[in-house]
Amino acid sequence: MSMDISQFSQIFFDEVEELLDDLERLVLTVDVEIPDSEDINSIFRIAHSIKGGAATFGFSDLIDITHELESMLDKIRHGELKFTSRHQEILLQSRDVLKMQIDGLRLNAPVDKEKVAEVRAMVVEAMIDESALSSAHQVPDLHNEKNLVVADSGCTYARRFQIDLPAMSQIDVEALIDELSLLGELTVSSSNPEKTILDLWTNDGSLEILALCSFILDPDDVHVSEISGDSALSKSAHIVIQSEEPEDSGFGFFDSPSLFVEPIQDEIVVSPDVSLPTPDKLPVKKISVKADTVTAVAESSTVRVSIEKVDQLINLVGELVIAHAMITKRAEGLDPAQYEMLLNGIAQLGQNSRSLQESAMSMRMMPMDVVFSRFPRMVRELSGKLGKQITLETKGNSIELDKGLIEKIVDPLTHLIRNSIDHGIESPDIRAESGKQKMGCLSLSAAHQGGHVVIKVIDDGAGLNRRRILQKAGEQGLPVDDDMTDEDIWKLIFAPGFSTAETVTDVSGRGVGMDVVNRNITSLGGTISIHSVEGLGTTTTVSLPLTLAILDGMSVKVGEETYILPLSNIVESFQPVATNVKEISGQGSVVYIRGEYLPIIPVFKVFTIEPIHRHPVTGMLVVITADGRKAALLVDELVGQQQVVVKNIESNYRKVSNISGATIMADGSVSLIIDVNGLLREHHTKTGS
Amino acid sequence: MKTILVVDDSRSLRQMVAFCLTSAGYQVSEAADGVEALEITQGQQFDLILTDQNMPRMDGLAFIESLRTQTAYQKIPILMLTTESSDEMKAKGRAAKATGWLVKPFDPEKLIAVVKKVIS
Repeated sequence: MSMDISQFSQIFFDEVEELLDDLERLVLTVDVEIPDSEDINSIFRIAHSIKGGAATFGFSDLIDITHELESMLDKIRHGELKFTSRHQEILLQSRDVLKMQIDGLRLNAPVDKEKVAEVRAMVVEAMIDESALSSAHQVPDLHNEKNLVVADSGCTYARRFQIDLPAMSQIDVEALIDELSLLGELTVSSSNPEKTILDLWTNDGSLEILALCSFILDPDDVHVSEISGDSALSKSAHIVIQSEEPEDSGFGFFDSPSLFVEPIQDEIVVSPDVSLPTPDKLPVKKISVKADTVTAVAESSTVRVSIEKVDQLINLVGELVIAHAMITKRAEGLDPAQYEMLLNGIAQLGQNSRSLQESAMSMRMMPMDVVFSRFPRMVRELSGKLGKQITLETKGNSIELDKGLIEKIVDPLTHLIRNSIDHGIESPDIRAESGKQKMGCLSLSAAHQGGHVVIKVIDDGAGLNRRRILQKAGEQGLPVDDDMTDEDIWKLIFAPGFSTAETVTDVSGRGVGMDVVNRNITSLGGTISIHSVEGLGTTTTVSLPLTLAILDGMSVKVGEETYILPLSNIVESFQPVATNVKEISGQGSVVYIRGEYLPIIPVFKVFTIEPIHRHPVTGMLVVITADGRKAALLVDELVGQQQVVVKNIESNYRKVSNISGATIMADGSVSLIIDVNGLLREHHTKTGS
Repeated sequence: MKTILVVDDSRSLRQMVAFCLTSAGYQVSEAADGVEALEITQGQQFDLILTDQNMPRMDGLAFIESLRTQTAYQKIPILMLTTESSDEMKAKGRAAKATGWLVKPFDPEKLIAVVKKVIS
C-alpha cells in the first residue's frame, strides 16, 4: 500500500508561513537582556517543527538551516550560549531565508542559494564562537552535528552498492575512490592488499559504476552488487546517513511488556540489539509521490477560498438584495389584508438576504493585525539604521477592514511610519537635550468611528516646523502666506514634490511621498489629516470606509434623475428661507445656516440636466462635508436612505468627473453615486473660496 | 474499529498521520498539545496514543505521565513520535511509562507497520 502525502505539502507550507510569522514576532519581542525562557522555548519549537515537517514531507532544502538553528537555540535554552542581539539578527535573517525557500517550493520563486549558505554559515558561526568560549564539553556535540550528511550535502541517494575490488596498487585504489566519490557518498568498508570493499550511496546504476572502474581495472575483476534498503518496511529512497554503525529501523519499544494489552504482548519482540538511534543517523526517508490515492482527510477549521470566488458570491448576493428590493417595490400596491402571507414572505426574504449579505461581506474582512504585524521589524531596522531608539505600540489590531483596503493601506502606512521615524522622532541625544525620554514612541492605532475605520500614526517627535514648511513651500512656488492656519500649512506637505528634509536619506526625503499617500487614501474613499505640535509630536489620521462594496446612501432626485449621496458625507438637509440665501456676483449664491455661510452647489448645473426647482427656497439643500470643506447641494427632493451596492464605473466605462460609482436601484434603474470629495474640491478651486 | 489519538502541534504532520491511519482502517482523533489531548482522553477511550514530544502548553512526556495516572489508560499503548532519540530521552520515555518510540520522520508504511505491531 502506497501513500501519497504530497497533498499535505500545501498545509505544511501554510503552517511554516504561520510559524515564520510567529518566529518574527517572538524574536522582535524577546528581551535580549533577560530573555524569557518560554519565548526561547517557543522559538526553538518553531525551528524544530519546521525541520520535522520538512523531513517528513521531503523538503530537504529546509532541513539544512533549521537543523543549525535548532542546535543554536537548544544551546541557548540550556544556558550553554548567551542570547545576544547577534542571535536576534541571525534569527530574523534565517526567517527571511526560510520564507524565500518556502516561496521557492510553493511558487517556484527564485531562491538565492548563496544567501542561504551565507545565513547558515552565520548560524553555525554564532554557535561556535560562543560555545568555544564557554566550555569544552560542547565540542563533541558540535562534532556530532558535523557527521550529519543531511546537513553537509543535503543530497538524497536512492541506491546503495557494495563494490568489491581485486588486489591493486594503493594509488589505483585512491584514484578509484576519488572517481567513485563523484557519484555519491562513498565509504571504505574494508581495505587490505588482497581486496578492497567499498560502500556507495548513489543515484546511478551499476553500469555507471562499472564504467568508472573500467578506466583502471578489467571490469570482469570488479564485483558490483546492490544492497537493498535497511528496512523491509520501506521501499522509499534514503537520505544517506554516513555511519560506521549498523542502521536501525527507527522505532522500538521500551522493555516494559506489562504495559501492553494482552493479545499483543506476544507479537512484540523487544530486542536489546535495537539500539536507540542517535540524532546523527536518523533514518530520514524521502517519501515517494504517487498519484493513485485515497481522498484527503478534510481540513476542519479553515477552508482556503480564492478571493475571486468570494467576490463572485458578494456580487450575487448584491444582485439578490436588489432583486428583493424590486419585489418589495412591486408588492407595495398590494392589499395587506389579502396578501398578508406573501408580504410576510417578502419581509422574511429581505431579512435573510441582508444577513446573507453581511456574512458574505465578512468573508472579505481581515484584522488590522495583518498590516500592523509588518511594522515592528521595519521600525526596528530603520531605527537601528538611523541610530534612534523607538518603541512601537499598536492598538486595535483586531479591528476588521475589507481585504481590498487592507492591501492598499500597507504602502501609505509604511510611508507615514518611515516619515515619523526619519523626520519625526529625534535622535536620543537631541531628545535628551529637549528634556524628553531618549526612547521615542511611535503608536499605531485602529478604531471604528461611524461607518469608518480610523487609523492613527502618532509619534512623540519634533513635530512639523511651520516656518520651514512655509519657506520650502515658497521656494517650490506653492501659494503661501504667513497668516495661514496651522491646518492649512500641514496640508502643504501633501503637495507633489514637497519635502522639508535637509538631506535626502536612505529612508525618506526624496519628496515623492505624501502627495502619493494622499492620492492613494483618497482613491480608497478615505481622508487623511495631520495634527502636529512643534516639539511634542505629530499625529496623522487616516479615515477609511469599512468596505468598498457597500455604501450607506441617501437618494436624492434632480429632475428625472436619482443620485446617491454617501451618508457619511451628509451633515443635514433643510429648506432655507429666502432671507438666508444671498447672491454673490459671479460666484453663485450662499446660504446662511448655524452661523456660517455655505456655498450652494446646484446639482442640475453640475450635471447639466433640467430640474424642477432652480431656486434653493423651493428646492431642498443638503449640507455635505469632506476634507474639512462644506457646501450645500441644491436638489429637488430627498427620496430616502438606503444601502447600495457600489458598481465601479471606471473599470466598466471610464472615469466620470464628480461621480464615484453607480448602483442599481430597487426598480431596476441605474443611479449614479456623487463623488462628494471631488465635487467640493472642484467647487473650491473654481471659486477660490 | 480501533481508535487512535494523534497528538502533535504541527497541523500538517498531524493530518498526515491521521490520513495514513484512516486509510489503514483506523478511526483517528487529533489533539494539538498535551492539554488538549488530556481533555479528549477524559471523555473517550482510545486503543492507541501517538504523541509528539515538543509541544506548547504540555509536552509529550508530561502528557504520558499524566495519562498513566488514569486507570483507563494504564495499559493502553502509547508511542512517542520523536526526533529526540538520545539515550536520555529514551530513559525519560521509559520513566514516563511510554510503550515505545517511533523516530520522526517516518514514512507512512513504517508508521502503519509499527501501529499494526502494537494493535492488530
